[in-house]
Amino acid sequence: MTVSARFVGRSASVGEARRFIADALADLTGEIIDAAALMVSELATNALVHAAADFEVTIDITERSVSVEVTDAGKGVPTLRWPEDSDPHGRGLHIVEELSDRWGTRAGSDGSGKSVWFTIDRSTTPDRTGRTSRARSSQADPSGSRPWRLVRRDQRSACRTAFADRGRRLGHPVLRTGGLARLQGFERQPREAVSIGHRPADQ
Amino acid sequence: MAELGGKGTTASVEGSVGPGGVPVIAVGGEIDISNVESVRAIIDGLLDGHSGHAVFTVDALTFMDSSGIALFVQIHNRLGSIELRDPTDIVRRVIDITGLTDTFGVIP
Repeated sequence: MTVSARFVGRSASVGEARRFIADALADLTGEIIDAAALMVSELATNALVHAAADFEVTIDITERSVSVEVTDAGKGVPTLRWPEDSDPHGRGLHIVEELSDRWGTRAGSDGSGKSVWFTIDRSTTPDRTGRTSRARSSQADPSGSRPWRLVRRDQRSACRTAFADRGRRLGHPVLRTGGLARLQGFERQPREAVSIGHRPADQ
Repeated sequence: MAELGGKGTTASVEGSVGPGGVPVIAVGGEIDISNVESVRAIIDGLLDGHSGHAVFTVDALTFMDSSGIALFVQIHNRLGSIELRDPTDIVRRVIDITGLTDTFGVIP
């Protein structure tokens, strides 16, 4: 199923685009809806800031994946930046990088403008893959504090697990920092505290 | 309490004073590019003349994207120290992804 909508180039459209995708994905898991809405919010914001024009959101839902494309008339290719902690901007695409399985850009079909797209593979949601609690733990607590709280089942999300794995695969510096020490810390926690992330039935 | 935003993205900001005179600001609702400047203006007003630590209770903040991150980075730059208490899962996720968990005090 493919749906699309055009939004006028004003800031209120960003929230409207989030609600549009949340409605379109209403039958999917909350994790996918939250992640997709957040990524659309980022891409719509980029379209407004850089193109200052109308933008279009196209959503393609299949059994395997959700693909979303945000198209605007602006030029220039969005690229990942690595801002300093004190730099307020430059983080939006990191959210797309971490929450999607794939993303990219392409030039507009008529030679003007551009599209930024992302795909979420529905099969990589953790309910089906049964990933280990290590991945969850390493991502769940970058601050090293209160791990028992952050690995609680109701606090975890499919996306958190998905981007933990992505982060490991990509060597994401944010996720990598201190990760091993933290994992060891988790190993020392009482089993009740660390095993919540396991789903033995899946393994 | 200040209510910010129209029919779309809305946020609420409410200030109080905690132990030791530390500002405690409750931020709820949603923050994106459409209302972040309004939220910032209210918070700036609440923090007028204050320097040092401030606490933000964000348990009712149901959504923020990198616009909200920019807001808290700027407040952190100005004050030197902030604490975000009880973030919702999605807000926590955004902070984690953007690598600011250690910069902000995020509790828990």
